[in-house]
Amino acid sequence: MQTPEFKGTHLFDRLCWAKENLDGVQSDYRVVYEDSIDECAKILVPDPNWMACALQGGILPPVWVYWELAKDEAQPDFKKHTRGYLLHQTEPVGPMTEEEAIEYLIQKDVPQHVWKTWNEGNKPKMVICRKEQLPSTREWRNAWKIAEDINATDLAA
Amino acid sequence: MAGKIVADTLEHSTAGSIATNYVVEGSAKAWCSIDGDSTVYDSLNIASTTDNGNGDNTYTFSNAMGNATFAVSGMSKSDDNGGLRAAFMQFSANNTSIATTFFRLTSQYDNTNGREAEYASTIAHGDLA
Repeated sequence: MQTPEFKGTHLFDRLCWAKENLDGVQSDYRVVYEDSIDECAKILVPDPNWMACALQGGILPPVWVYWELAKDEAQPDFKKHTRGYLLHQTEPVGPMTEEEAIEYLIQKDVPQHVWKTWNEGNKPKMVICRKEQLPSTREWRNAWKIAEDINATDLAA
Repeated sequence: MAGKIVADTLEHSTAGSIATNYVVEGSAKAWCSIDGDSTVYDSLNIASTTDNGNGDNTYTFSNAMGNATFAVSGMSKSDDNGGLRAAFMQFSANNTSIATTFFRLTSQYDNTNGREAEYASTIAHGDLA
């Protein structure tokens, strides 16, 4: 299905169009990351309707829009967004592959201090894997950590 | 877009009228249902979920909310068959649990420990950015 010309259309309207017209895409990719030594590993799961939008193209804004909004929200006197128009008026990005979509999602929803320095330190702070590579049961879920012996060479293999 | 109607008021033949901003401002801006692994069954305006641990999930928006004072509600279903047990949801107490781009909820049982829900559903109402 062809995406309508959405330039300048409110993002929520675009999402509603996608919900009505696109089938969800359940990704097998998972992003495991650690953003605090006091907490267990977290697992980012892509939303199937969002993934459908990413693969379709012409719906989602570029990821830098979210960074700009995050900068605004980080201001101590923040009350409400005054630059929401960036979500709606910035030209939507084109179709992505599933892997590009995961990269986009990492940059949108994983803390920047994790993905910008994922491979600095004694072990990677973030790993992209398949769902079936996660433990098959939830036993000791609150103690899950990224393996100490995993390294960038393993990840590249 | 095709089929666009611009109106400030909707009027029923006998039941009276309602301003359309009731509809725009009163409609849910995001909803989501997930399983115990945070895999999404269905949703609107959700980009991802994050499994933070037992019964602890973050829901991230595609279209951010306008402020961080929006309202969230949720219901979850016990994942065991140990009888009638409460499974309720609350904002994560020891972390940032709400911002314009996400909210974080925990599913808990009667002993207050975070526990996976077999089915967790949530809705957000408020103003979009």
